[in-house]
Amino acid sequence: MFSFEYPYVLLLLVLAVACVLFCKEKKRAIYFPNTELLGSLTRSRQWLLNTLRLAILSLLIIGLSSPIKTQQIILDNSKGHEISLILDASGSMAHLDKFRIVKAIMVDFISKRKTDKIALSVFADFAYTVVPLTYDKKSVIKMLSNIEIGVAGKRKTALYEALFLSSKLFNNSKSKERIAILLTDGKDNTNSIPLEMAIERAKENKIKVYTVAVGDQRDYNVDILSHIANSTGAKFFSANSQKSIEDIYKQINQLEKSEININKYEKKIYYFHYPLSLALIFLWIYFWRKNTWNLNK
Amino acid sequence: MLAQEILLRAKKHVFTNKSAGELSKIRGEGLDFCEIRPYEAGDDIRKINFSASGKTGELQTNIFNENKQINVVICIALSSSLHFGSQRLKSEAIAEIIALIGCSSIKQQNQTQLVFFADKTQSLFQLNNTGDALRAIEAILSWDLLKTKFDFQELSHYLLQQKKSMAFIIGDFYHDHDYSLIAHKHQANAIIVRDKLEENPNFGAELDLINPEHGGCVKANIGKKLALKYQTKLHNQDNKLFSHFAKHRINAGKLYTCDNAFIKLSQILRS
Repeated sequence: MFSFEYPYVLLLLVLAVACVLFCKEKKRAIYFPNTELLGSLTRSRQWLLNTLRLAILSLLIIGLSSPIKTQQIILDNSKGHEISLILDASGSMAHLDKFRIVKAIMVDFISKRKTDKIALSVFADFAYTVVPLTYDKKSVIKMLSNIEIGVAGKRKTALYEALFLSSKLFNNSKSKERIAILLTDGKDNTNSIPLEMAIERAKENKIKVYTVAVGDQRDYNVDILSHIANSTGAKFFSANSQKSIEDIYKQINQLEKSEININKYEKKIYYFHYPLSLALIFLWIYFWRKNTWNLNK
Repeated sequence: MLAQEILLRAKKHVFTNKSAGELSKIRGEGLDFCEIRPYEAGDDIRKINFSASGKTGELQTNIFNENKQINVVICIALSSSLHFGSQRLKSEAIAEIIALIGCSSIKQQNQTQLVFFADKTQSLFQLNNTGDALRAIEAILSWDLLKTKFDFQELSHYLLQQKKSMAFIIGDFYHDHDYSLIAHKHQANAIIVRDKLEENPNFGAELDLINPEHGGCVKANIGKKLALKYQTKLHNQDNKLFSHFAKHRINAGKLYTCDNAFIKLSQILRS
C-alpha cells in the first residue's frame, strides 16, 4: 500500500502554493516604457519559472513527507514452534559421513518449518549458539551449511553444556511450547555442567528436549538420553541409518502445534529519493533558465 | 538639466547658425530659390528668367520658397513612457527639441504655438520670445509624467481646427495611430524620441519593469537573446510606422536621448 510516513508534512504544499502566488521576490525595479510588448515576450518564460518553483517546492515537501510502500508481512505463527536444534559437531560425527547426512536432513527439516522460530547450537569440546531463535530460515540454513566438524573442537562431547546453553535461548520466550532437538552420537565427557542442572534448566524453561542418537548404540548412553527426553516430556529416538534419521525428523515435524506469539512485520520501501532527485533536476533547470543571461553575455 | 541651460544651448545653436534659416517648403514670395519652370498665366512677370527663356525659346520663370511668416505648431504627445532614459530622460530631450524649434521659429518671427497633450487636456503656450520658450521648457521638465496617457483624438482634433501650418509632432510613438488627416492639412513632421536602452534592453539582470502608465509590473530577466527578440519586434513596429509616415509625406525621424539634438534635428528636417 502506497502512503506517506509523515503525511502532515504535505500541509506545507498549501504554503508552497501561497508562497509562489503571493510571496514576490524583492528585486530592483525600474520604470520601463512599452512593457506590454516586453511582457508578451517574457510571459511564457515567467510561467515556466513559476511552474518550476512550485514543482521544486512541492517535490521537496513530498520528499520530506517520505512516500513509502508498505508491505505487511504477517507471520501466522498461531500454530508454530520455537525449536532449538542442538547438533553434535565432535570428531566422531565424521565417521560414516554422519555429519553431512545429518546436516542435509536438518536443512530439509528447517525449510519445512516455515512458520517456526529456529535456533541452532553446536557442541563438541564446548557448546556455543550459532543462531539464536529467528524466523530467518535462510540465515540458519546458511550457517548450518558452513558448520564443519571441529568448529567447537573434536575430542570431547559437551552434551550437557549444550543442553544448558540451549535452554538459555528460551529465557525471554513467551511461547507455551518450546522444543529442543538434541542430536548426538556420543556421551558427555566434559563434565562442565552436571546433567541434572541442565535438565532442571530445561524444565524450568518448559522445554521439551527430543533426543536423537545416531550411530552405534555402544557409543551413546541410551539411558541418559531417554532420561533427558522423559524428564522434559519429550521422546528419545535412535537411528542408525539415513532413512531412520529422516523418519525421526518427520515425526517431530508432525508434532502437535501450539500457539505462540503472533508476529506482524511491516516491510517499508522508501521512495523519497525519487521526488528529491526530480527536485534537483528541476532546480538545475531553474538556475539554468534564470541565469541564462550569464551564459549569453 | 536646468531649463535655462537647455534654452541657452539652443539659442547658441540657433542664433549662430545661418544654414537653417528657412524651414518652409511652401512655394511663394521669398529669396530662397527653388526651381525654374515655364511661365504660366498669373505668374509675376518680375520673376521671368530671361536668360533661361532665351536658351529654351519660351518664357521661363523663377520659383522661390515662401519667405513670409508661417504658422508653426509644436505638439508634444505627453505620455508616461517619456519618463525613461539612460543618460537623460526622454522628456529632457523633448525640452531641448522645444528649445531648438522654438528659438528657430522665434528668430524667423513665425507664429509659434506649443501644445502639450496629456490625458484629455491641452496646455497651450504661445512662443513669442525666448521667455515664453523658457516657461514652456520649465513646464515640461516639471510635468509629472507618471500615469499620464496621450490622447491621439485630442491632438488630431486640435490640429484639424488650426489653419495650415508646419506641425511638429513629438513623442515616442509607441501606439498605432492614423496621421493621414493631419498630414493632409499640414506640413507635418514627426520626431520620435527614444532611448537606446529602451530599444535594446539588455539589462543583464533580473528586474521588475514597472509600466509608468498603470503601475503594472513585468518580471524580466532580460539577456542578450530576449533583448534581441524585443528589438526585432519593436523594429518591425517602427518600420510600419515609418511606412505610414512615408505614405502620407510626413517628414519623420528618430532622435535618441544620447544624440546631439541640434544636429539630429537639422538632419531630420532637411531630409
